[in-house]
Amino acid sequence: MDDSLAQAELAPHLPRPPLARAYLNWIGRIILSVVRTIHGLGAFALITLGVTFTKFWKASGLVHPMILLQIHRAGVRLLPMVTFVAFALGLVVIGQTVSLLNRFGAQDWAGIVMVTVIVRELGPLVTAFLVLARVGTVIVIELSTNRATGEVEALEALGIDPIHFLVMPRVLGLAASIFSLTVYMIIVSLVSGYLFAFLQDVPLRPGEYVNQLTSSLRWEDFALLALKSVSFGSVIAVVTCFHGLARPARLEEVGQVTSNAVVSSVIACVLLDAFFIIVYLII
Amino acid sequence: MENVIQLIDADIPRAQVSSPIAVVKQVNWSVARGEFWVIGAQPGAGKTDLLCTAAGLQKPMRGAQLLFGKNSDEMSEEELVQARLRIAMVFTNGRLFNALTTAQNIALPLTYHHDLNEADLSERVSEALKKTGLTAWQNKRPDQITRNLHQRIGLARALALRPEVLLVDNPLGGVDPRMGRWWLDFLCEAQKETTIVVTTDDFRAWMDVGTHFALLKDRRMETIGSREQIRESKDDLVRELLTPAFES
Repeated sequence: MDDSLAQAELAPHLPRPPLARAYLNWIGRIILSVVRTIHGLGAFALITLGVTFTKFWKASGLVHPMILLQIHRAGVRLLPMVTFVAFALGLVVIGQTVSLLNRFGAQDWAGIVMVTVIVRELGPLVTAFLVLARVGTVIVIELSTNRATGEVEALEALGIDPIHFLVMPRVLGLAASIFSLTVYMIIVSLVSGYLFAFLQDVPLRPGEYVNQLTSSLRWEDFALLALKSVSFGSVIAVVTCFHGLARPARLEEVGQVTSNAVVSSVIACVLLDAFFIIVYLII
Repeated sequence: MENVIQLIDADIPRAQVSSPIAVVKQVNWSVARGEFWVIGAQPGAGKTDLLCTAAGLQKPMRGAQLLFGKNSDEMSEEELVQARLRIAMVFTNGRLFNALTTAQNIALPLTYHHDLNEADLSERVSEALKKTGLTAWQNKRPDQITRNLHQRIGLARALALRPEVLLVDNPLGGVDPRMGRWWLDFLCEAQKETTIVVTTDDFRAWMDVGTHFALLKDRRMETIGSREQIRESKDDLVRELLTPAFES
C-alpha cells in the first residue's frame, strides 16, 4: 500500500496528500468562476446601459447632481495626484527618450515616440489605474457596505432603482473624469518632458518639439483617445459596482470583494488596452 | 373586501441570501384592506423574509404572489414599482441611509418619485416628522441617534409616500417599554386609514390591537384567526408567545 494512503488510514485527521484529480477540480472551479463572473458582468453592464438610456431624465433633480459629485470626486479631487504622476511620467519617459534619441542624432523621432508612448498608451492607462486605486476601491467598499447593511434593499423597498440611483451616476461620472484627467495628464507629461529635455541641454527648440508632436498626431488619435478613456472609466465603474452590488455580501467580506474588484478591473483595462492596440495597428 | 396582498401556495426564499431552500413553505395567505395582522414566530423563523415577499421585494420560489389583485408575474417592472409604492416596508433596524440626516432620509423617496418644489417637499417631510414625533431629530444622522429610534425613522420615511399597506417588522423587538407603548398607540391610530401587518416574537402586547393572528412554525404559516381564537389556542408555540419572558 502507498505510504501516504496507509498513513491516512491510520490517522484520518491528518490532511490527505493532494491527488491529480483535486488539481483538475481546482482548475475547473476557477474556470467556472471566471465564466460566471464574465456572464454576470456582461448582464450587469447591459442592464446599466439600458437604465442609462431609459431613465436618464427620471428624478434628474436628484440623480444629475450625483453625477457632478462623482466627477468632483473622481476628477477634480485627483488633480494634484495626477499632476504629480504626469510630471514624473514626463521626466521618466520623455526626458529619457529625447536625450537618448539625441545621442544617436534621431531627435526628429521624438514626436512620434511621445505620441505612441504617452498619448496612445501610458496616458490613458496610468490615469485609469490612478482612478481605480483612489476611487474604484472606494466605490466597492461603499456599495458592498450598503449591500451588507441592507441599504440597497431599503432603496428597493422605497421603489428606487439601485442601478439608476447608485450605478448610473458612478459610470457617467468616472467616464467623464477619466477622459478629462487623461487629456490633462498628457498635456502635463508632454510639457514636463520637454522641460526635462531642456534642462539636459538637448538641442530641441519648443517650436520643433510642437511641430513633431502635431505632425505625429492623426485625427484617429483624438477619436481613439476619447473612446479609450471613456471606455476605461465605464469599465472600471461597471466592474467595481458589479462586485459591490451584484452579490449579497457580509461586512467581513468587504475586503475580499474589494480585492477581487481591483483584480477584475486591472484585467479588464489591460484587455481593453490590447483591443485598442489592435485597432491602432489596423487603421 | 378587496385583497391587497395574496400569497397562494408560495414558498418563501431567504431575503438577501441566495439559497435554494425555502424558509417558509406553501404559504396561503390573504390580507384584505383594513385588516391588522399580527404574525408571531420564534427568531429566525422567516418573519422578515415573509414580509419582504408580501411587499413585492422578492418573488416566491414557487406559487403565486398577488399585489392589489394582480399577479406579480404578469406585471411590468413599472407596474411592480407602482405596487411597491403602495406597500411600505419598515425594517427592524430602519435600514437608514447613514450619510443622510433624518429629514434627508425622509425626503429621499419623495424627491425621487415626485417632482416636488422646495416648499411642498419641506411640508411633506415636516408632516412625516410630526406624525412620528421626530422633529427634534430632523437634522441628526442615524449614528447620532439612539438605535431605539431607527425603526421609527424608517416608519416616517415609509409614511412620507402615503402608503395603503404598512408592513412593520418586529417593532417591539428590543425597544424600551415607553417606545413600545408609542408603537402600539401609533399603529392602533394608523389602522383607521391603513392596512397593517406586523411581526412579533411576543403576542401579548398585540392582543388588544390586532384583528387577525398567524403563526410561523416548522417552516409553515398557520392562520390562527381572531383575538378570541388565539386566546383559546392550545398550540404550544402560541402559549409560549403569550407567556411573559420573565415571571417574578
